[in-house]
Amino acid sequence: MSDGKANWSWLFIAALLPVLLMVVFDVILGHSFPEETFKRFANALLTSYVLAGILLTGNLFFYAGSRQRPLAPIVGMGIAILAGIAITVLLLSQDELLMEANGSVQAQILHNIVHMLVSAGAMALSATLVIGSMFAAIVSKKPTPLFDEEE
Amino acid sequence: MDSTLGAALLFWLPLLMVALGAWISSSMNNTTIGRSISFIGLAMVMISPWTIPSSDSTAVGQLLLNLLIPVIIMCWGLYGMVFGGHVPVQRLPPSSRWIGLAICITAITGLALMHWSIMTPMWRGEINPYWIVFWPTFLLFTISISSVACVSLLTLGTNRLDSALRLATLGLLTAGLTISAMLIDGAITSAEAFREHLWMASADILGIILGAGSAIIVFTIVIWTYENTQQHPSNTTPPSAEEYEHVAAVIADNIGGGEDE
Repeated sequence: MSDGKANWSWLFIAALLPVLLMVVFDVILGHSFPEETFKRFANALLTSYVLAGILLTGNLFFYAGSRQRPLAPIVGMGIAILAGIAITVLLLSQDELLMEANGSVQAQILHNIVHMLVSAGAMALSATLVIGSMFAAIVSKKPTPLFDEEE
Repeated sequence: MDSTLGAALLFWLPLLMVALGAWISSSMNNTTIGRSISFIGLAMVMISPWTIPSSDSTAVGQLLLNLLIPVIIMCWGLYGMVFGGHVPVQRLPPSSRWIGLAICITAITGLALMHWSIMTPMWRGEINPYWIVFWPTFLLFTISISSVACVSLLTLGTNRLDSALRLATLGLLTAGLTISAMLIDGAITSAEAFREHLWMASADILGIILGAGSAIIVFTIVIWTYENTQQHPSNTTPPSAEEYEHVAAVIADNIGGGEDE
């Protein structure tokens, strides 16, 4: 029986365990950790940081109307985004550190953006499928009345 | 037209229009204009393989076009599954649940056929480079979040074991597809290549979650710091005798009910 509280450790394990099992299965099949994986991870992290930062700053601007649009948080987020862009460019400029099969830093950045949109799209579609299926599973059962009718 | 300028005008600008349209429709309460901008942008991205064929990024437009039908029928199926159930509003006939389920299975089968049959999304005579990014990411993330959703139903809900088991079927189905793709060669992608892309998909998912999470943490710190610099609002003066009288009159008007009884 549930206690109605989120058990974060269980949720964390539930999120990671299937991925780990797939990776372990792959290792059992004799496949080793590809070197490019670290580059992909770092590129995805930096790109999603910058794009999510821009998205949040945009929302900050749109929703700040009732507070006379204070500039300080927007400037603060602008600096944080610029720092992200600077770190991305700096790391991409170091040969072989984060560069994938692209000829220039600019090409790699554009590739990262498109790659992230595809991955985020795949994640959004799977989230839609799972959330939709979850609602379908919940509403497939007749709701139980909260209180028994008085006889 | 210069290829760089062409890519900027016919691919990147429409891509920005999609984001801008979504922003306008969600933030400025002007949904019609926002959706129109997004739709035009999306349509231009989808036709970009023909409008600017020299750009490598247009493979994404081709992939979007290939995924359009499976995605639409998947959403349609989900709509039938949800609104064919015991919902209080806009309920569809109960048969919609089963029709919706069949449509969803058809959509997932369609995606699987893109891996194992000649329906694989192609681009410039080869496999679309973004399809082998999309497919493992979709499978892996579906397994992961369906597992989270099952645990959530069990820990947060009451008597939700049967719902959790139904949801677990989806996780097991996608896990089965993933293991099959790891063992059986696709029409164009070998099982070994798929396994390599599975590692990349894991790195992508982890990177995106950590990157977006970092941005949210930075955003929280910026807002928290700004709010801390604000002066505390001063206390208001206590109500005057006139204000007390006015409040008493309003209360007297709204309680009692002696005249009606």
